[in-house]
Amino acid sequence: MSLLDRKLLRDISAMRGQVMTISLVIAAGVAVFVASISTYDSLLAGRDGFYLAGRMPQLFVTLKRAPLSILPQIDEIPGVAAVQARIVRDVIVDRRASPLPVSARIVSIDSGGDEPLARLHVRRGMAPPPGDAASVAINEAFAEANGVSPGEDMRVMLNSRVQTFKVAAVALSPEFVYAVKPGLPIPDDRLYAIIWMDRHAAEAAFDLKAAFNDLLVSLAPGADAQSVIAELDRRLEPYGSAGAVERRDQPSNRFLEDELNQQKVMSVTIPFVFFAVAAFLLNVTLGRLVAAQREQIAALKAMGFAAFPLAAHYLKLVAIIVLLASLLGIPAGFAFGAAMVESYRGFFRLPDLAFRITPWSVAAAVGASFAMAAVGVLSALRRVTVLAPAVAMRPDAPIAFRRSWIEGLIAPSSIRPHRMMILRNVAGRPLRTALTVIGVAFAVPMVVLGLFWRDAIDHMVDVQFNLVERGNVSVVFRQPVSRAIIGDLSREPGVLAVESQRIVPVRFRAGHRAYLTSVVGLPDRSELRRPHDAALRPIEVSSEGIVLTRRLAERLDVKAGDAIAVEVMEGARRKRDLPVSAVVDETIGMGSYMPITALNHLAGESDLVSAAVLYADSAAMPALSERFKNLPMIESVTVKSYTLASFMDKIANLVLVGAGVLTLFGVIIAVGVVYNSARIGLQERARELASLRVLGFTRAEVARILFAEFALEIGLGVPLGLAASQGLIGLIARFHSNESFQIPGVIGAQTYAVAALVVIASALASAYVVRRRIDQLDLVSVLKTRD
Amino acid sequence: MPVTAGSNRLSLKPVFHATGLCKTYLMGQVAVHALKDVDLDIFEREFVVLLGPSGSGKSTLLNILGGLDAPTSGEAWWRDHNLVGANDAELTRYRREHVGFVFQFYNLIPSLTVLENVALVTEIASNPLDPREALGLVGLDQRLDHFPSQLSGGEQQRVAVARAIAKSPDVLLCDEPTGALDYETGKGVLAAIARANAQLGTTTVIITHNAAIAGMADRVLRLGGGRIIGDERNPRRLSPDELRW
Ligand SMILES: Nc1ncnc2c1ncn2[C@@H]1O[C@H](COP(=O)(O)OP(=O)(O)OP(=O)(O)O)[C@@H](O)[C@H]1O
Ligand SMILES: [Mg+2]
Repeated sequence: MSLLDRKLLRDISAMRGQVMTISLVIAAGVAVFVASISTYDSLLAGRDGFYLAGRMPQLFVTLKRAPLSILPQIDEIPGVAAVQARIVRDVIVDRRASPLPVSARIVSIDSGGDEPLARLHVRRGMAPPPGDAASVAINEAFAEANGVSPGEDMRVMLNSRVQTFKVAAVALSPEFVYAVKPGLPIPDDRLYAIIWMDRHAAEAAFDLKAAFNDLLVSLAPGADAQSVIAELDRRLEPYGSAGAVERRDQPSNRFLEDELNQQKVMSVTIPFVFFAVAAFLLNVTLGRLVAAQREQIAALKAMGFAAFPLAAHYLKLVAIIVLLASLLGIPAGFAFGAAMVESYRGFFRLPDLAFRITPWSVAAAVGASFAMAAVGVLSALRRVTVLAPAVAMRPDAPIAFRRSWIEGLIAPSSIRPHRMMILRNVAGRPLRTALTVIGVAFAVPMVVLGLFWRDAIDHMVDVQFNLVERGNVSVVFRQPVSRAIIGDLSREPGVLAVESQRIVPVRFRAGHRAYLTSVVGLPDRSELRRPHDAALRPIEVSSEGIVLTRRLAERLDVKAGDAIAVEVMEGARRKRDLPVSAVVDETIGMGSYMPITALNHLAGESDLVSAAVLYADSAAMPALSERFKNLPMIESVTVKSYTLASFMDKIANLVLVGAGVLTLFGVIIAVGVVYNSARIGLQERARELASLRVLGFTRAEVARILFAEFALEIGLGVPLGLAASQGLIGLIARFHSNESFQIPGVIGAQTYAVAALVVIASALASAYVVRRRIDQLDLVSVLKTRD
Repeated sequence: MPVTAGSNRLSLKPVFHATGLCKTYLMGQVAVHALKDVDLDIFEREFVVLLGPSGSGKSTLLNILGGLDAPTSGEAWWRDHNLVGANDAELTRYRREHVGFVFQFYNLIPSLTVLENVALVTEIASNPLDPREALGLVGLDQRLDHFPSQLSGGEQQRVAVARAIAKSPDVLLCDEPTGALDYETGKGVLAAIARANAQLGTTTVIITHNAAIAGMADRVLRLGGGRIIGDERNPRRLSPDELRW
């Protein structure tokens, strides 16, 4: 072993606490980076694989009714590669075991699941072959949530009577990777099923012989989607087409896409923040380490060691730290990524969603860590080696302590000398003090970053489900009906208030931008659904125009006062230009509102309602649900608390894994920053403190001098960090918001408190370690050497 | 003020009393004997010079007397303070209340001015001099507001002396106080130490390599290989002005 290597090993063993904590910080960065990139790639591969094997269509059309005989005309539209005509209907499932009505979407299949488009991936059993009218396939999410297996019966309400089918298969479809009941912002697998049945059974059930009401279209390579959509809409309009929807707006895909984007953003932003902090820490720590070895370096250089082996010597130190970090970080990244993918499994039903490590992410993480550490070390080394050996061998010129301006403010004679030491050390090295304060300040948002998700989701849910949606049950009718039904509902036992809603499918256009959605018509002074603005003030839906949610307004690139074209996608399909009367802030989805009368007028209909929001006594809820299961005009029922509970249950997993790990890493960083500041502080002051001990100062007095500086740095850093958290989280929340969810940059008081406490606790723990070192200061040895 | 000999001013009562002091460093297989069975008495107000070649155990002995280090075996007392069995807190109190140190490398606090460096110690002493007065004794009363980095080595060493005598210690222990200084400056520092010994009656022990300095002492102890190999009383103390080297 060369002598330099021996020195390296001794240095490492002397600084093992610092080497370990710096390695942990880098390891956290590496783990988050590897896990995020790999999770993203795994989801992407899972989706792409399934979309390919399952022949995911590009366009989706819903219509009233069209004869199969028109299909050849659709097929010949230039750019259309394949079509699949289906019967799709929403029904109620009769499940005694379920406390609430279960809705289902029936989707017809022609070829026993091996469809030309939206092909099924059968998990268990066998999908009903052509002609089999007695069995069905159901989606895996529902089967798992309700414990339904092949061989069991499904009782479905078809045309007001219950019909029983045998479950022959449990399957997945690229169309329903994320199956959410239409009109609901979030999925509830217990209450929503996809039922695939053979076309013959569906034709009979819905009286759609040789007809279809749903069309899937795939495009030829290079086809222009917009022109195909225009042509499809033109040809299908007579059959009540609601307009072709692109894949990007297909609900399941949109959600998947949003989540993927979020994962992508996360794989960049969060590791970046981690790396930035780790780099800062490395730069400061290793820079100070090299500076402390200045005389040694100069002596080695004077003895004839060339610059290169010296640089190589310090790079070896970096390599060892990075190696240690990789040994910890890469397996942690694997585990974190695998857990993330596992927690996505409940959300996204992809047949082969497996965690795959992305090799370049490992190489990039390790390479980037090494590069950043190397820059820190080499720049410090350069500062030493540019000096002539004779200069460098002398101790670093003592910093010119001056009477700082602060002393002018207070009578200097009133400050006792040991306090003066503290003051001058802090003020005399403003850069170093600032770096330490910044380091501590960084530690706080790292902890907040892990914890704030809970606050954000709580806030999101609170705004959407307490402020905006104030009812606790909502029902959707089979078709628009007379307002009289509202009176009927209000007479049901336990119902305290009912409000009507009208939901009309529309297409908005503004310039070249278009968006297919539905408008919710609200009654005057609606109490149970109340749109809010950004300041959480309720907004009146005025009859002068249309109210858009912020995300939708952004998508259409319009603001309040602009006009948009509204095309009703049902009935007489009227078109009108309407002004945007207000933009409201909602945390989930991209909705729009109009007064119910204005909306009915726009649709060219009289006083119709298509849904109702109820406020019911929670004690009466079970009886009410049971009753709704048997009302034929009700297509679906949603009980807010139930849906919310299932959502929170699912999201809790993701939050627990994601935020839990981030919090852990945040804590590691906090400890790393604070511990290293304390240790370096001690290292730099050891001689001075030992001198004080020799002069008769007690351990406690000496510790107090060091800790006063440290406490000052913590005391400045923590509030600064709390302030910085708001900015960072605001930014992260902005990056992470998507069309499905708007993550609010909200940080709870508790989160702030926990973050501050974590940093303070790590400061106390570091102080404890440093205090023990002060007790072990070698008094004799400081007398033998000069600075 | 030249100090003349007058052994009658010395009491016969030893303030330091050590017997059988041994200090052994175990370095793997090798044992380094820094002190071997040293017996020693130092009397009140006495001015003692420790001479000896490098590695002979001078610093080790001084550090034990100053409560900075513990012997491997043997006994050491300062008046009724047992310096061997005492715990860290007791030794700290001993140093704080009774001992003034001057070291070869000054060990000043760089962030404090000359005056503050001295005041730092007088604050924790029970019967201190005025820091300005102490700095007057070493001729530095014009440089009160300067920082150590603005002083020459000799001036820094004089600040260290002022700091050591400012608390009017019972004992002044100096380890090569002139080691890093030139002839003239060294004399100035020695004069300051001698003055403290004469005026304040401080028991003083100085380590030096410079045999010429021995002329100032009441008594010269020679160390060699960890043992005391010579103990001579000077018939007449020279003043620092009379020293030549
Ligand atoms: N920490 C230590 N570990 C091992 N040996 C030590 C240690 N400190 C001192 N020694 C040894 O003890 C012996 C006496 O050391 P000491 O410092 O007392 O010598 P000294 O007489 O003051 O020398 P100098 O005039 O060079 O300062 C030396 O041989 C030295 O090598
Ligand atoms: Mg010595």
